[in-house]
Amino acid sequence: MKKFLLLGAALALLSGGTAEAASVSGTVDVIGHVTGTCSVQPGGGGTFGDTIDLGELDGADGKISSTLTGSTISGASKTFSVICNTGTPSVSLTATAMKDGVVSPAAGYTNTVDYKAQLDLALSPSGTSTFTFATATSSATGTSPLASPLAGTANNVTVSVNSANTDGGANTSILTQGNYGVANGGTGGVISITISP
Amino acid sequence: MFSGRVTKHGERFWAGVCAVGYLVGRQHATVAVFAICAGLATGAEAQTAYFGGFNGNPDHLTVMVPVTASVGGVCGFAPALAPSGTFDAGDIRNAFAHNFGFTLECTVPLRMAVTSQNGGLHATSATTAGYTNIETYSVTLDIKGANSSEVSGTCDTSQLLVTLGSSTCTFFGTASTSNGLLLNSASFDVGGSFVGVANGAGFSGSNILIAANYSDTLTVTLSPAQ
Repeated sequence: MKKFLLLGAALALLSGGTAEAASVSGTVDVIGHVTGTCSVQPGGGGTFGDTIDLGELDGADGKISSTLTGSTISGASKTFSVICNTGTPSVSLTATAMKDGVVSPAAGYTNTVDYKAQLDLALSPSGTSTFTFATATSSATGTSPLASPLAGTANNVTVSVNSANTDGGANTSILTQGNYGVANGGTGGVISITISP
Repeated sequence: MFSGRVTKHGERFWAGVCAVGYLVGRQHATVAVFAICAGLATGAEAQTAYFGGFNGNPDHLTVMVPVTASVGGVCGFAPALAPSGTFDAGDIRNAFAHNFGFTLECTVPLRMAVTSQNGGLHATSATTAGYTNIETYSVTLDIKGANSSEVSGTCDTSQLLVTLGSSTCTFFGTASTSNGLLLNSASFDVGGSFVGVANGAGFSGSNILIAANYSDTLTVTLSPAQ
């Protein structure tokens, strides 16, 4: 018996030419931090300092000069540049009276000059925060921490001296001869400032 | 269905009827009709029926079916070798640099693109004049392919911010057949490709970086180039 063959195969056609997977993605994360710091500029050091020279302390009558007893003393300030990268840095201010090193002055004389140290801090975006310390009473004013960041500008810290006095403000004694303040061969006369992140 | 007596003369009759039945059945490919007729041819007077084709044509058909096909290719990251992971840059004011490696499995030319979620390392803390909460950094996309082929580009994250409408960076955005850094060759399991991040010698902006934690996410995409 002859056989009758039929070819009825249906072949699938593979068509196209485009690659599979039109887009594939991956993600990477980068993290880091900035540590809270305060530094002195330029240089980034941790300390700053200078000397405020009040010059001749006594007047014609030998008592504290009237040019030094007011709330402002011309030339009695220094500025510094400090960067703190935190939002509310903390500040402290203390100061010690100036002395000439004479242990016991005679009656009617004094070897101690008190004053008021003042710290002015420029803030961001604007404004100034002021701290004071009166050596005669060891009383401090101002708030810590600051309400806002330090201004990120140069010379944002100002230290000044005013209201020099003797005898608790009475100014009755004659100043003994000598060099006053530790930077001048005497003792005391140090203003200490701490600014923390 | 056929019926009737089988006689000497009847057998001839049946043979004739079978021939007619087979012709009719063949037009409709009814093989069963021929089988019935063959079963009735018995004894000394049995006739041998021949299938001699139809109108002299051969008893077989040949059909030619053309077969065509093409191969589209593949393009993706090798399994578990897509760009991934986290790099901790430490204090970002200091210099940092890191490469995120990846491997491709693309049998066709390809394009890759990158976006940055924040446009740089970013802290959520608020800022004020003179301060900033973002540090931009550079991103390098380096793709290695077959036969030592390689393409590389570097952009600043400020030009990779995902919300940008346009960018000066050649590999900003989402990769497609027309967007992204082009490697005009295949790259299949070729090592050495990477996404690099770096900030040069350290932070150099004019503003102060606020103390905080910073982060950014880069999205890297891949597409065939054709």
